[in-house]
Amino acid sequence: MTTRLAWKNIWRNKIRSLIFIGAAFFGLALAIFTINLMKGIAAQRLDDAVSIQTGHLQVQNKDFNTFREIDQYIANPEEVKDLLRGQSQIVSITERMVAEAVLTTPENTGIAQLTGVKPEMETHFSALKDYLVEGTYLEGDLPKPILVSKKTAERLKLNLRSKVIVTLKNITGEIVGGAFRVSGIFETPNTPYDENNAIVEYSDLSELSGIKNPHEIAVLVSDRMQLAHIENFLAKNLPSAYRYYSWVTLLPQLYAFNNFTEAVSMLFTIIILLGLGFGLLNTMNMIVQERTREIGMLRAIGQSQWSVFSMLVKESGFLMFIGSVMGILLGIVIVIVTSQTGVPLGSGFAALGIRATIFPVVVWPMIVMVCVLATILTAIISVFPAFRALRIKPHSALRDL
Amino acid sequence: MEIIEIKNLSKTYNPKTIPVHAVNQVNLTFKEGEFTAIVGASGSGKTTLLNMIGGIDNPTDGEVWIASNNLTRMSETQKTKFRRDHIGFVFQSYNLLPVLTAMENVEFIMEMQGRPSKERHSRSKELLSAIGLGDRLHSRPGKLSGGQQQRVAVARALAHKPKFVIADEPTANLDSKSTTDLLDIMVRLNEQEGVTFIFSTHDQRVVERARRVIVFEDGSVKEDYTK
Repeated sequence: MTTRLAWKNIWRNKIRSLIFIGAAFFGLALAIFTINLMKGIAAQRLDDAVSIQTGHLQVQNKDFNTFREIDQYIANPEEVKDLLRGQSQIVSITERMVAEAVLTTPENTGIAQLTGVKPEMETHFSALKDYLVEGTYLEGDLPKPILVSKKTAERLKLNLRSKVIVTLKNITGEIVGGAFRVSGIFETPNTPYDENNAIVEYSDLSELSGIKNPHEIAVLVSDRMQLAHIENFLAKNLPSAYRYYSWVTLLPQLYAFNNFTEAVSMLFTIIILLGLGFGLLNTMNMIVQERTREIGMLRAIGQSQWSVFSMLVKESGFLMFIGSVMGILLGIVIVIVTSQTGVPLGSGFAALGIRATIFPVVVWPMIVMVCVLATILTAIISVFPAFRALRIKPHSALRDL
Repeated sequence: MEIIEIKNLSKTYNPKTIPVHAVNQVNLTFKEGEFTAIVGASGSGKTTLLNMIGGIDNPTDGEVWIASNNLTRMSETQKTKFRRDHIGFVFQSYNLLPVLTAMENVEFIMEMQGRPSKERHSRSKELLSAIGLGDRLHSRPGKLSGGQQQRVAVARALAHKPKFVIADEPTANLDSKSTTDLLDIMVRLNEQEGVTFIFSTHDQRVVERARRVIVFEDGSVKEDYTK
């Protein structure tokens, strides 16, 4: 009985109810879209960073991550690779040599982290070749090819096949140099990466630096959630001369950024929900105020306190439920559609490593959490006006009885 | 057979500041099937007396007994249930639920009692037909005139077959014809269903139709006579 009455009651003042339902509808649709868009941004930044830079996890010489000296290489890479190959979650492994270098052209000079890669391994690992805007990926007939970013190319006035002198400190501490030719120019969504990195063939860097072994062995896993399993395995089995680092340690800024975006989207959602909560409280208080006489009459003719309470809580529930369910469904539809079409953000966020087009990710646990929060909020808010209604005395409300 | 017994009933407002004795040491009894009008000037205490008989206000002193039940000793929950099951109310401003149809309004208390829908439908149709609204079963109060709404309110008050019906100024908002129609209906239902009616009124036409008249003045019974 109270359910039917509550349902009919919310349509007494259609405009007021529709305004609240509309607010819940658009508010929650926006919240769902924002949460999933932010998640999409975070996922895209992470995917780009791990595929171009670090991988999901790296094994290094135990001191390399701290001091980054050229002689802190992996003494026995085969031993490490054998360990890693036994892990079914790992889908790709690559070896890299790293050196701080100075790039010099007749026009300018720049500092870059020079990474020596094995193209046959890197092809299955890195997405960098997808970001080539000119030339090829360390392929072709050029001796000592080098990949530079578009920004570096502009700064050093480099074109395809241009010569660039690479200078670095070798294993014996001597400053050595070599001439490389630009085989490709890349432009990733990550401007800081572009400004500071250049890629050469592993063998060429090995020849220049005088070392044969890699500084890092990087891996990609099929599912990021499986990373903890591999970390546990390495914690037990990796020789003490090495250390493993997940992307969380290797990319602390990215990890912080991801946490930040998650917190901001959550805060945004909570603000929307609180706004709706106060709106609901106001609406229900107005309803109780307007219907004081009627509630008094209901109590007089024998409706129990619990029944009045239940009726008002259900009215709050209906208002919130209709708006939030429709809003959440709209939000999900928008997210699903835009996860295919992408959301154009423009190139203004490239400095933060954010692509011009973002593909939101449907994060069901977050959507469920929004539903749960909306339900809890409604339950809490609806109690106050309902309690207020319980204090109405029939004889006070019905002056004319 | 006595259905209501009021013993030394008093109600004092503001007892600690400036006491107002709305009802003062009233003793009354009402028999089953009576059709009683309580008359008196505004502020004489009629409404307060009816509130206490109906169990929606508590006396400062004294007792209200209804069919061997001491209403004044009941908890709020017990009183609510007692009102639902044994008392019918008719209000001056009709106070129908605007979102329900005439039939749903009449069925409302029976629904609270958990009576089966077949019984509710049958009873509400019977009553609405009896008061001349058999063709307005599915009309909402907003589509009915004041007189029609008050007739629906009377049907609602009678639907669950209460021991008695309390009506406070039931004709106050009605025109002359509606008042006559309503009184005809109330008298007929009183005679046919044997329901006890107690109503307060200023209206001389209502007083003329009452079989017992209680004149109330300054919270006390000044006169009590049966025609």
